[in-house]
Amino acid sequence: MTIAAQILIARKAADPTALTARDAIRTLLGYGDRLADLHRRDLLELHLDGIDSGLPASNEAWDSVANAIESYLESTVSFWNPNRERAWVRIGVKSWEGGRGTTMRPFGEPPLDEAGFDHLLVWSRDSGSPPPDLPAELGAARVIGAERGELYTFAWSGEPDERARMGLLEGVAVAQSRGRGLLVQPHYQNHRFILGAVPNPIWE
Amino acid sequence: MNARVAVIRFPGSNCETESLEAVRRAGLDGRIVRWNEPVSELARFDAYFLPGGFSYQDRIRAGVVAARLPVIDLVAERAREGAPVLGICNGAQILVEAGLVPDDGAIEAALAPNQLPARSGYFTRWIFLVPGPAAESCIFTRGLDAAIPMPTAHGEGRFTARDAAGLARLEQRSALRFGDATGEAAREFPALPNGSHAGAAGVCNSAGNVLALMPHPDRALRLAQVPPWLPGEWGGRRRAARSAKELEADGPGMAIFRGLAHALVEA
Repeated sequence: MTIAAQILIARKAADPTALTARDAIRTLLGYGDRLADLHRRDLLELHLDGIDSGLPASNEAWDSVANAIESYLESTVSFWNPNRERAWVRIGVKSWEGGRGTTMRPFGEPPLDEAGFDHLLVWSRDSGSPPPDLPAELGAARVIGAERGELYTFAWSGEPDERARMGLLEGVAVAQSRGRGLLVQPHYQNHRFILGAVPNPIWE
Repeated sequence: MNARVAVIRFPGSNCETESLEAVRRAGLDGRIVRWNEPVSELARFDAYFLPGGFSYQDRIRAGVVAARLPVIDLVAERAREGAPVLGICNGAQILVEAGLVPDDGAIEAALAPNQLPARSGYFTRWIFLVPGPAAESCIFTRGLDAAIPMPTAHGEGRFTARDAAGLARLEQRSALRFGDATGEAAREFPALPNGSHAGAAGVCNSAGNVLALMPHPDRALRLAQVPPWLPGEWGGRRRAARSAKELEADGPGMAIFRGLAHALVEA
């Protein structure tokens, strides 16, 4: 069983990197209007252990974790700027029948758990350390690991089937030559394609 | 007529003025050209210089958007014909992201974020460069036999590749490596400022006419730019210089541009 808290950070205003990536894919990689839209968010995923304190069954334990993450986000400046960005938190449990998903600070589009969007997660092979000011414990949970990456979210024109969407994603992802790939540098970055809903956790 | 060198200005370039000065100081006919000038105009140049800066604000990754521009297809075509191509700092990142270094074709390497055991992130200081295995086959570095000092300033300058074959290729194609004033290869920070594989600071293609160099020879054109506290021969020269004329003498960075001029004259 894995308990994870996903913290997503997005610009309040338009994200210049996402706009540049969208335009580069449309014009320089030749996708044109097939790419309807592209968003980008930073993702910090915390892996938690709370068995001894009642997670995942106890509602009180869940609330303590949620409150601790909220407090941490309000105090830290180590990986986001609340003046410029919004944070969104999703706590989830995998492989537990009674799993409860807690969503805090909900904001805007695109959603992570609906069909119609595909995602590309990109992370450096050298990443994986938690922010330096992250507490060792968040409420009832102990932090046992952390991963960081960028989550690109794609909306395609028309209704391409799953195989076609995967082909489109592959064409924009790993940089292989001047004409193929853009968002992933395979010599120091890893990636993962996600068609449809984003799992929680992503990293296992 | 002097050979013509295009200094290509991308959105976000910020070293084109000193780059132009460098090629002119080497006796070449330099001109700053925009990335979106007609290909027919750009094709008329004898050599191409991609200067430092932050093309497209380093969005996505340093150099990657500029590397997909039509002008880079033209530069690649001219490089295949033998035209010299020099990329410095962000220009080097563009060449690597374009697959022109270590060799034209697939993207076989990366300039990753600086990463050392005790240090990561942006770093700037004067460092020393020593010749690497490819120095003699690279037109920009042929004949260099001693350590030359140069400023370096980057956050993503770590040459790396995903597998052993790629790393071996990078090492083999290293024309310049980070070193010290005595000519020894650097092993650790700060002489090795970014954790680059095999200490690579500049990687040249196998034809010897395309060089991706992270440090800035364009910021070491005159002796006056060398700091007096620097150890080694160049620091000694700087401390001994008294007159304005002496301080206006060539700095250590000119070795790269004189190499370019020599190759163009020979051609």
